[in-house]
Amino acid sequence: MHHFFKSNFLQTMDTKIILVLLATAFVFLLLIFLINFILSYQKKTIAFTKEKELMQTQFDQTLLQSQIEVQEATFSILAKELHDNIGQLLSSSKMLLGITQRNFNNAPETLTIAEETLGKAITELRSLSKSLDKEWLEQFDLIDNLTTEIKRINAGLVLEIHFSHPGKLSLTVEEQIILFRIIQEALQNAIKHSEAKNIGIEIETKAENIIIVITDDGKGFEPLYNNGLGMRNMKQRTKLLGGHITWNKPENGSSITIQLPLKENTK
Amino acid sequence: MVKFNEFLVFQDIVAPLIALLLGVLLFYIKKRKVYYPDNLLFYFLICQATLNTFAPILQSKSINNHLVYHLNCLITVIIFTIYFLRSLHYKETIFIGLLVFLIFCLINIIWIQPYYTFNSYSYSLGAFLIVLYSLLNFRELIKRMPTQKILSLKDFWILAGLLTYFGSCFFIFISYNYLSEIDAKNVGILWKIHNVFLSLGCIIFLKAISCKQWIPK
Repeated sequence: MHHFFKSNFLQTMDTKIILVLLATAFVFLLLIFLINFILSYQKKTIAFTKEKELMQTQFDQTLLQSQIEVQEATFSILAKELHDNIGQLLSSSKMLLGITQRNFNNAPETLTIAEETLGKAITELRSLSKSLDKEWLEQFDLIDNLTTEIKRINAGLVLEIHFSHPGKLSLTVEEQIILFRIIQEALQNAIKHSEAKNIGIEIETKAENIIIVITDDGKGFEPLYNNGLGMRNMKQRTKLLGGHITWNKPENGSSITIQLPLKENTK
Repeated sequence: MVKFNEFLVFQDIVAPLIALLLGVLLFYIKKRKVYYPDNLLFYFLICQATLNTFAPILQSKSINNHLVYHLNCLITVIIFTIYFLRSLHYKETIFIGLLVFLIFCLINIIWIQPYYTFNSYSYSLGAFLIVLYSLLNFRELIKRMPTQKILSLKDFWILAGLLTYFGSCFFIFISYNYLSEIDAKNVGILWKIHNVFLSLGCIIFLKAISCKQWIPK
């Protein structure tokens, strides 16, 4: 091999051959550099794209968080107004009805019914106001609050909600509030649109997940063709919790499944 | 040193043959599906192994073997033009390029570098076109798959192999005919260097064959 590098060998070669060899070596090195450049450019593009995606995700999450905070603030104001203004008006009306009733020896039945109805309205209003009031919500447990909400709806005797759940959920207060809103939205949709007689809510923890299944025996709906604001809100809130939500159409009625990852309890 | 020299002489037969056998073995053992770029690479390797075997046999019988190289150049350029026709959007440009190449080969063999001389000009034109299409294809590859790990793509390795072989050997091709007239004794070293690049190209093509992923049309 050392013969190759002996000057005699190079001296016998025509200069043009040596030039061609040098040009070939130069082109080869240039191509190696080009391929490396392409690889490095692609690596940078991938890193940039990933960073952009991360920023977009963070932005979407921050935006969603802000939207939820604004919604909660609105709910709080609404709760206050309901309690302070409308609640007071209804209480005053009930009081006046009571006074009017006592002025009669035999008060007409309609007056009695009116007073009872007003009493129910005041109770419903208080319950609704509580469920909208975030400050009150901050002290709550999802299971307790949902149980209260279900009792309120069941008291209306229009339909019956069956609720099964584990003892405690490993979710933060904020996560429980968001999940409560999702379930509340699902319940409201079922009550308003499904014409169901029975609604089932099942919460269970499986492996590393919390699974919530809400079913009804109503007329059902086609998830593909119904993508209203309510459904979009539910999707966004579930996404914020790091989970996913699916709508299914079983034989009778409809069903919603929410799956959330289980984290360490930081309540 | 003599044995190494001899090895370099026959490398243009050994390298494609080994790459071909290993490629076939890979598909047979791993039972992988054969995609169209694999077929084209196999045709190229068969063409190289066959024609490069023919050439020294003819030479040993004192028969002029330059026609084999004319054929080799033609078949190689046609094979890779088919590959680029399937991969790139510039179909009209590639068709025109192929047409120009074929017409030039005809003119070259009739009037410029007859069949009994080495076809430097055809080889260098073919190499130029292949390098150009490879660079265009690289651009398309990055544009279409910005987040894909490029090293796992069959097409990346095919393009790298084409650039390594045809790009590096361009100056050898273009000057070989002229240099074999002025320095016949030493011009052989250029073809040995060409064989080294052909071997490198075959290794890279074997890597391409081993990759599962490729860009569908």
